[in-house]
Amino acid sequence: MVKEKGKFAVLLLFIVALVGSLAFLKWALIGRNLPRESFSEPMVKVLSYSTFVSSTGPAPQLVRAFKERCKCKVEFYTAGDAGLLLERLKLTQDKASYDVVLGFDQFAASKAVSEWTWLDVSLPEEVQQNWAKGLPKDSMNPLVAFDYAPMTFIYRKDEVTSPPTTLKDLLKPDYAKSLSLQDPRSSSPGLQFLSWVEQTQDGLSYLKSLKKNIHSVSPSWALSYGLFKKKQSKFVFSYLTSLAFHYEIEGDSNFGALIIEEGHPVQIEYAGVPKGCKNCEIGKDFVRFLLEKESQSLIAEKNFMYPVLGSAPLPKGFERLPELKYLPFVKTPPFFEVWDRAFE
Amino acid sequence: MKIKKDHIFTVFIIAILISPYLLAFLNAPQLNFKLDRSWAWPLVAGLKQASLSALVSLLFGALLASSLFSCRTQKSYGRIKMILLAPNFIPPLFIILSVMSLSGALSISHQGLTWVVVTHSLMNGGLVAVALSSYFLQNVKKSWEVARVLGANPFDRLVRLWVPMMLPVLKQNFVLVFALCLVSFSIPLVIGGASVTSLEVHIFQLIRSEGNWGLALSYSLIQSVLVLFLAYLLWRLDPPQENALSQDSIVSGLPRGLIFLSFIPLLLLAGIWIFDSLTQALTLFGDNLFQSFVLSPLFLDAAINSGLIFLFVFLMQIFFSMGVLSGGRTSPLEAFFQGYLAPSVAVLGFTMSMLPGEGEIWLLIKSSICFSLLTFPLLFRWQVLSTWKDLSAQLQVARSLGASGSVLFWEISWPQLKGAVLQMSLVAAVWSLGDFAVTSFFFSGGKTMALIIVDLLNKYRMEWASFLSFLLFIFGLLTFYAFQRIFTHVRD
Repeated sequence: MVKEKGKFAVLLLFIVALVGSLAFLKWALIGRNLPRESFSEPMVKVLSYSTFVSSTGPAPQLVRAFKERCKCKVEFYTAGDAGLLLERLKLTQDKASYDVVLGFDQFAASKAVSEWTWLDVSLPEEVQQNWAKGLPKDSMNPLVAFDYAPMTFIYRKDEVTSPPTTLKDLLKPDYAKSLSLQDPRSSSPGLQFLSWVEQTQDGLSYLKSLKKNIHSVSPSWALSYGLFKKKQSKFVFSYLTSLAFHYEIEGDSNFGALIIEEGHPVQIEYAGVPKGCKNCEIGKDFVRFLLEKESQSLIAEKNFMYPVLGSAPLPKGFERLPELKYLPFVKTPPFFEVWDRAFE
Repeated sequence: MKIKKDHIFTVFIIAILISPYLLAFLNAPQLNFKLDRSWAWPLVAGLKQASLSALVSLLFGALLASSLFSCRTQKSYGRIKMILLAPNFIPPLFIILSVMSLSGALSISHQGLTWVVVTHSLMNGGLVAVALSSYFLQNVKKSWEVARVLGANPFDRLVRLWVPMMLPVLKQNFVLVFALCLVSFSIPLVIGGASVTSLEVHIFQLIRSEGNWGLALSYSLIQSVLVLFLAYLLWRLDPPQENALSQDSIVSGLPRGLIFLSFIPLLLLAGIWIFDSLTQALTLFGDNLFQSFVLSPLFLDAAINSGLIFLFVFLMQIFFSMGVLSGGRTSPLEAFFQGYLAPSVAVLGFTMSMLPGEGEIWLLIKSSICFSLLTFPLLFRWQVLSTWKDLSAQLQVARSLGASGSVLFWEISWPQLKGAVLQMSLVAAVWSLGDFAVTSFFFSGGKTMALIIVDLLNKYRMEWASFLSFLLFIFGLLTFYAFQRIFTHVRD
């Protein structure tokens, strides 16, 4: 029995030693650049979605720049994807006291404004005057828009020689099993597509007719785009700004965007300072910081979205994007029942 | 007095395992039960998918079992068994990538109920095959041989002997696969397409798109109670017994060529994707951007986080198991494990993220607890429960001779169960490497290896993501092998 316990104890010790080593390494990594003052600095807590916060997103550089200015700590927290932000806030704000929530699309923002109290963030006059052309100003007060992108279908030019110009064109048999879409219940772009259809067509009958031309409906934009990139589908519903990645990063000009006569939906992302914040003033400063020229440029570059500040320099590749006609701004979410009934 | 103590412990264990439900109900801001006319359809859709998946898995499992019947030695039987069970150890992320590669190779869409059923059947067919063959060789083979010698034709043997005698194990496996498929999340989410094929997916969507916690929790509870009831009922009716197989019982007359059948699930669920990843990997060798990304501290941080989650999950599974085993086996506890399913990933992730503690180490611990609560009931039932049941006679004798709880655990239970416990802990730990559903509730993109892969997919880097997922898969396999080697010293 003693031998039995001894062997098992050695195994556990081995595992605990491994945990200890990794934890130490992690501590060393985190602590490398941690100045002594940081222990007494105020902290601004930002709740956002995963991609924005990730190492390849704009958050790390924004944090560095803001920290230098405010002499404070900035901590990002994630709610998974953007759709879960409001639920996370509602459930945890009592304990977590987030100072900024960042990443609502207009539908989630509309819900957030009606279901939660937000503090007013007054924006500098310069921001108001330089607002991007065609983008609604103060569309979701007191939440503040920080980036946007028109939505459309992206395609490969060598596969689609005469691209559709109306949504009705997409119903043609030529495009059988060629569209990659996203599920509106689990993806913001999917919600934009449903809203587009409901705004411009008889939603249910259009979707029923479109079914035969749908290649796949993915739970996230990333998966649907992956299918498109692997050439499994000819079109993917995406951001117009996706083209900038292909043009600039991949150096591939074979991609195009459908220019639809009816107009295009625009996804706008919002940030705000929620009731229950702890360092609310620093939170407001952070939101204002997001709308400064340099931050806007960085968000555009890392998030592949347009800056809301018209005077912010655009990253390379954006100048080649076509101009699209925007649909009127809508903040009421589309009816999921239309989707469910079309696909039941 | 002893019985009372055991029962108190049973209540304690059950309370820990169902704590996410309790937390969810305590924290749900408003239980908005909107039970209108349409409330039943996601439940019906989930039940339909799970029933079809279980049925096809049974049929496919019966076919795959023939590869086990064609084995000539215990060693080859063991090997084929491992190959058949392997798909169950592959994390869903890789399975999804495989199905997408497979459908891509066939130039057809990878979505719809049929694909969900096919994928579930490929994943679970091997599990069913192992259970069927083991039960057949122990309980049916002799009668089958007698019937054959007496001249019964194959159809009669199948309908009048095989089906009635195999019914207990068929029923048990139907319920097991039904339960696995009913709570399946990632696969119906990605492969299901536009129509709902799993209640789990609907629960996630209800929380995400409508914030309807009341209905989401109700669905989750209905689902768990349903499976618990069904499993408990079948377990009470006819619990199949399994013992170790002898060399004699393995020998059977089926042609050896049938062994190839055992490779089908693994080839379809991993082979094509591995080939795809390797071809893509060739393009990355000259990519300086990729190399600097892999060598960055952020990548190292993600690797450490994944390593820590792996170890935490491993330790937690061991401690959970030791806790359950040391408390003693009671009928209610056994029945609970027979049928209990962890709440949906969405409910679990949300409730656990509400617990205090925000530092990174705390988040690692919380996500590991969350993952352990999600996988422990299933793995314990799968790997430990039947062996634990077999020990009941020994434990009863020792108890009647006055053995203390400590002696019962260290002298009887632990020496005979530690192999299974270490094995299940390792499986859970390897699964955690490929998990993105649970960890995304706690960590931002790029904070673990699986989240890096998802993040790269979000940033148009499909080739990088595919190659990294392949590396992670290989790392998981190597770790599994290394730990198995270490375990042999602990087991022997």
